[in-house]
Amino acid sequence: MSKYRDLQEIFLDQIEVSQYIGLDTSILFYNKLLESIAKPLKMILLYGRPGTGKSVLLNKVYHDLKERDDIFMLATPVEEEREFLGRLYRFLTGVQDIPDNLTFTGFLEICNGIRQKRHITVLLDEAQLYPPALMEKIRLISDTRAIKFVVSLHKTEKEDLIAKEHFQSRIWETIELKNGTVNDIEVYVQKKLNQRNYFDVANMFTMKNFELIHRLTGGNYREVNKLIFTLFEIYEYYDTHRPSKISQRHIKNQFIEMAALKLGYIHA
Amino acid sequence: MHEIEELERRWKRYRFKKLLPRYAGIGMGVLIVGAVGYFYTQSTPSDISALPAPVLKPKEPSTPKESLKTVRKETIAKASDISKAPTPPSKPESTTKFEKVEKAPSPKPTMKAVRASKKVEAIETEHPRKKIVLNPDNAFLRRIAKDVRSQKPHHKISSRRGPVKEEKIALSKPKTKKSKKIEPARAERVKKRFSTRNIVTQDAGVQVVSTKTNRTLEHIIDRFNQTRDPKLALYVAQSFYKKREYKKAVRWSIVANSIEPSNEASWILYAKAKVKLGHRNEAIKALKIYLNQYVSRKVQTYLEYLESMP
Repeated sequence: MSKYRDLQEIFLDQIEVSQYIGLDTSILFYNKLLESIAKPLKMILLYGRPGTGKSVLLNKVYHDLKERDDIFMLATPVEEEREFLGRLYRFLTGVQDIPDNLTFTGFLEICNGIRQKRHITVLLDEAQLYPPALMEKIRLISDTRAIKFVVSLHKTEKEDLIAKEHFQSRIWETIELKNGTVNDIEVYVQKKLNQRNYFDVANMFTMKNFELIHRLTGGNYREVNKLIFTLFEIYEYYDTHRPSKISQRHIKNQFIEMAALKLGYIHA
Repeated sequence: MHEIEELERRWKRYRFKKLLPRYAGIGMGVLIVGAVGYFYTQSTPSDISALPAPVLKPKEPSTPKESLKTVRKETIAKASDISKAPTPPSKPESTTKFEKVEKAPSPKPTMKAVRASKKVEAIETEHPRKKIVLNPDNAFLRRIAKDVRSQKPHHKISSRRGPVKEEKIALSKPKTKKSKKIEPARAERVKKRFSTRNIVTQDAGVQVVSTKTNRTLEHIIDRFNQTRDPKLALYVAQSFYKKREYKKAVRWSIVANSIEPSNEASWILYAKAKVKLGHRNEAIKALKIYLNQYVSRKVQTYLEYLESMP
């Protein structure tokens, strides 16, 4: 199997703790989030454009804190109120069977009962997908001060509205994740390759390559993953069919541009 | 397969579109320059023909101002160079207009200078319309410079006062080995002047040191210290080589090599770094040692290349 097949897998868009790359900015956001969680806040808003690393950051925080803290994560949104309450109830009480008569008011009472005893943090990823009514209830739960919510949102106009309407008076901390700089992209790609011991491939990338990648993707990590995945797809083809066309020393900007054409970032 | 070929075609189209404005700009530039050149060549002869004919007949009142000016400038420049040499004065009777101009400064022109100016005059009168005549004659200047040099003892003070003029003479001469030999002391003096100026500006300026922080390498070195993976050591060596830190590259390639001696890459990198440090023989020796134990086409090729190097 061509090594470029292996390389493609590195840049598959997955949300895993192992995918977390310690960049200067991401380390900063990580520390800021940990500090915010340690504060007596009701809610923390984590927002940014899609592909800026919100989910990966939440996963990393959950993975690092789950052993020592009372922390619970809902990676996928739950639309039904009952199911949402049930999952929180299971986490709070440790009881698997949800009582049939569990109501929202009943859940609030449970929360009030544990307020001074436990410090619970619930991480909600993709919170923009929660229905507004449920968001309102989340707000009320946070008012009990028994549960602290870390809400991750996409940054769009609509979602800004959600943030304003539901959390404006409650959110004490907001963290905005931004796209990476050229240096961030360089470190990101090189660390990803180095993690899998592809040092020679990491060495093939030059600063000009990273500048082009940054220009094409706008520094969005998801787009970078897609672009490099496609780049290695193209390399795999050439490696198998026309090896003389590719150099083992450098990545040609031509192939990066071809990948961008394929993904529709640029047009011929 | 078809998809990639299609992609290649699209890329060529994209590239062409991307470069089109650049080529168009260059084309336009060439066109403009061409057009300007064309108009210039078309207009110049007619201008010259429009000028009244023969110019430099001495004492002729109808001499056109432009050509006279240029001739004056030339003679003044030459005379100012010559005037520094305290040779016996020539007769003041040679009374062309431009000679009168050169009379104004105190020292009088030498015989040679007068002869030279007469020469110019003769050329001017023969070919009054050709501007080429007005270009400085290097041979002429060289003769003057020789004259000046032959009377060096009288010239000492002026050389101190006006180093710029001396430089001018030196510059106007053709750059031959001979000329370099003749004036080493003077060249040194001029050099000294310039070098001291440089030092002053350097001292006066603010030194800005820019550093780039990239912790990848540190991270890898840490990982290497934990794992002792030769690939990591090789990567570090390659990184140092890229950064042109060849001594470190040599050190790390030795580290990689000591863990995995069969890896040809570390030997080649070691040799490359050694070559960069100017130790080609050591590089050749190392590659030969490797080839005594292992077979590698890459190492063989690089060794042949090193041996063929002058």
